[in-house]
Amino acid sequence: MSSKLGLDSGGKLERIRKLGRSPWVFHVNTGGCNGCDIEIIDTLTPYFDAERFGVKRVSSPKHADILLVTGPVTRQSAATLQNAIEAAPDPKLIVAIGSCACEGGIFHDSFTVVGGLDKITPVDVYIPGCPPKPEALLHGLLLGLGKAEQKVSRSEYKEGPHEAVDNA
Amino acid sequence: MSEMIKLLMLGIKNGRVTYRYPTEKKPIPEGLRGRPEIGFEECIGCGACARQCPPNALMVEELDDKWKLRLLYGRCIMCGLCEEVCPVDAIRFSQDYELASLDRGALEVELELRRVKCEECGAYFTTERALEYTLSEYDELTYDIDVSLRKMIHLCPECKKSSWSDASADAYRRIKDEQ
Repeated sequence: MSSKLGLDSGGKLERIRKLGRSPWVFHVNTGGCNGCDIEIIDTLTPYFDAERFGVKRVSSPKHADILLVTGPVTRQSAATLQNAIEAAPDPKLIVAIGSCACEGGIFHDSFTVVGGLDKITPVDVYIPGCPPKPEALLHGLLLGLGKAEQKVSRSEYKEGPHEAVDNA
Repeated sequence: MSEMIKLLMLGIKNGRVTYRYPTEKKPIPEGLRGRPEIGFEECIGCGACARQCPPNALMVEELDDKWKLRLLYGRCIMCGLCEEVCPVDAIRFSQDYELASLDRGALEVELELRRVKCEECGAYFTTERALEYTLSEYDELTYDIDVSLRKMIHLCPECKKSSWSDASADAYRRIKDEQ
């Protein structure tokens, strides 16, 4: 499926970084609670002013370079989301906003949701948070455009093997 | 034209409102819950957080001699319940909110602890640290507990149940004999 949509991400991030023009965004809500949507609108207001980076909201996926997806992808909205993804021209960034879009969030085990955007399509940027702060959204956007650095990394801890403790 | 001048005057009066985020950072409001952080050294492995977590962002897996805790930032809703229930304050919410990642694997934390065997049947039942914690809690009690009860801490729930029922059956028989 991913090859059909032209989403093999080899060099795609590089291509979108070399786009050389303002990235326009299209917003898709796939059945979220509207918390993340309010934060997106907040990011576009003159206070946070995403237009400093050329970001402008458009009302058709055909004009968009970035798809902002919120919500846990309900079964009803999956086909519509697929259409929106296919309509957006390549190269495009697909951004999962909020816990629901990242991994399914609080709805992850519900029978009505697909549970996470990456079960439908490969995702370029994950922005967790419930909802993420407008600053976090801007950070994610800049990360996708190659203007900021990633701050989280996987961490692991292992307690060593059993010491010679005689229980028996 | 006069409208434009009015707007211009308004603009001059109010000045710049834009918060220039990446270059300028405003203080974070107190009490903001960002990324939960697990204190690897403090965690005793009781699993209370995983039982409480509404979206199952914290998951416990019990292998034979290992106890594994997995935390997915991508699923966490920052509700703060795990911080509330943790008996040793091992899990804390930092004010770190910039969690954006290009890779889902970067949003994971894994913790692995050793488990101990039951003294009677030899089955693994709890972590070493949890056992130590329970013993230290008993030391703090103001009243004395029976030595046989103290021994039961080292037994798995099944053995604990059977030894308890045996003990009570013995006591019942003793009372009956005395009558």
